[in-house]
Amino acid sequence: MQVKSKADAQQRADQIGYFQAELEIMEQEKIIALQESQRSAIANYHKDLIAQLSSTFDIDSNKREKQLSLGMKIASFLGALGLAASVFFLFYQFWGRFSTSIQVFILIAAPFIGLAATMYASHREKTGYFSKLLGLVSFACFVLNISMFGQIFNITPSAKAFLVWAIFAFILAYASDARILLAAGIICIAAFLSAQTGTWGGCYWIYFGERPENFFPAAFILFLVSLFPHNRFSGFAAIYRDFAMLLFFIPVLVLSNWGMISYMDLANESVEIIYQIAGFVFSATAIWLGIQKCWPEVVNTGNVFFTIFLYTKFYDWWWDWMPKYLFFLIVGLTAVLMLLIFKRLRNLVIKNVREVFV
Amino acid sequence: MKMLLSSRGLFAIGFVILVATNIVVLSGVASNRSGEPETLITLTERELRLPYRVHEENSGLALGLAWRALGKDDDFDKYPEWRSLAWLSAEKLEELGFNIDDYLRSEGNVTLHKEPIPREVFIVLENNGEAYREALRRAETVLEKEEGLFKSNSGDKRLRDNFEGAEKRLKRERISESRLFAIDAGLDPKKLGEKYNDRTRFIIARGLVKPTYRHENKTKEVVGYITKISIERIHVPLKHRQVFDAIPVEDKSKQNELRPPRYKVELAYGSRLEPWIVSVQPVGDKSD
Repeated sequence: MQVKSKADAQQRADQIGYFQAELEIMEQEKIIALQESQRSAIANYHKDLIAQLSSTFDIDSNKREKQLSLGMKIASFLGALGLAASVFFLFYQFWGRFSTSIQVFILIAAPFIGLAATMYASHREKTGYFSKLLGLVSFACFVLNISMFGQIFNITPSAKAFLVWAIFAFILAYASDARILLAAGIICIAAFLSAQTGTWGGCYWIYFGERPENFFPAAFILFLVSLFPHNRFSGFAAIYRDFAMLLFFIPVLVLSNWGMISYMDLANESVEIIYQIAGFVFSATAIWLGIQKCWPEVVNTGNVFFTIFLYTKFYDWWWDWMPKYLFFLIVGLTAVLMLLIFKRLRNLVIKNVREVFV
Repeated sequence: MKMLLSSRGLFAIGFVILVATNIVVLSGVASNRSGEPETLITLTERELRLPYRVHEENSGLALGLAWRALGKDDDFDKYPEWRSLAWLSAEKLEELGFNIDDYLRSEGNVTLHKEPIPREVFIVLENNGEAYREALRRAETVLEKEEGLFKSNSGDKRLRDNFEGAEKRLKRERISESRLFAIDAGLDPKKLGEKYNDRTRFIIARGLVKPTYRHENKTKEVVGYITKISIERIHVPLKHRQVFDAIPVEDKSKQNELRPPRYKVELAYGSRLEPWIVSVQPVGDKSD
């Protein structure tokens, strides 16, 4: 197994732990009996491997370390959010007392200092907690830089700001393997692409949300990006897929209820029916694709939206005329039916796995 | 090691992005402010208002551009008449690139109504011009009408209230209401500049227009609606803050009081139609 990222290294370390536990049970059950030389060879190999992985990727070699790491991740996330917000409010508190040239100097210098600090931290510290934290602060400084220039110089708002923020966030995310910055970059690029689509559709860019179809190109592009190999980065592909699905299914859900905000030159009712069908078909396809490709986030998102589409339809059809006890009975029975379908699907998957082993 | 090098490369690109973005933004500002301004206009507190609320955690100050438009009806207080402009008709909307048929159609019982979306156009704002004088005339007409009704039945409380309201409206119109009116719109700022060439009276600014519906005598009419002027908040740099800082904090938020303006602002609009404050001066008790 080629170890390219911290996630890969952690997976390998976990695998070693499971192997050792299973080996111990097998020996107790007297299924195999390793010679001392074999046992020590395996133990030494694992010890060296864990040491090597720890020094390169700073992985957690046991449960307690894992729990502590989780605490550090949460602290780093909250710290990053807190510091980013603090930068905003600090500037707002005092900027009115500075001359324009000092304001410009501070706004330009802040992201530069942030970026330099992120670079320094990412080289000095293996865990990456501080580089991620500083990366988010640096991104916040850059957002402040451009948005405050807009206020100070009364500049006409432009969607291009989202493009440069997205590029900067992606650079920081890939340089410091930070998922939160990747999410920030995805949100910015999705806003830019949707605004651009809206502009081509004839609306002013800020109102891109008024035609939910504007989000579809961004969803499609993000899904394509997730197909590129992201082995070196922890969970990046899953984040791309998650956002792609949200950017697709939320607009479909909105349009399936409000056809009047669609670009389609059809009667509102027809638009709603088209998007209702699309919602069912694509969410079912997502479940199928997720199972095929072993993408749990795709299966879960598909599940959630399939259920929402189904219950929205139930509400439309029956809420007004059906007694409430009957309505909720149908909702409950549908859930049971879905449970049975998923159980059947699960059994099929298990059967396939067994056949492969045989 | 390879990963370290590649992350260094990414950080280097990050620095390039920071430098390039700041250069592009600041050169845009410089180009807007270079040469002769497209507009150099003097506005007062009537047209450039202090913010309604003073935020303790925001030390910056921006003045709000208060603009108006003449509606079709005389009663300008009737919402949304004050932004449903008399001149922004269905024909004008088509001229601005809207296809009115897209927004209101029906085939049999099927509704093809589409929610309109705003478009960016160039809007002409006139200060202290014919539109303002028309607003004054309308206020005077309303006062005359209400006065006549009140005099014919002076015991009626409702008529007395209407009369007093009309009196207040005229006073407000003369002393404190904005004299800046949206009078025209187009897609070509140059053509608008040639048509409205008095740089001390007209502002050409980017703004958003959207069609809306007017229900009258059971018929639906498409009319235009200015949703906003793109830049409605004008930042006040520190060097111009003195006049505003001299106004007591408790007085800053009292917008609706009938009082003459306390300051006048020379405002310039550059080649990119982005404004900046050139100078600020206090004014006395007399209306400017």
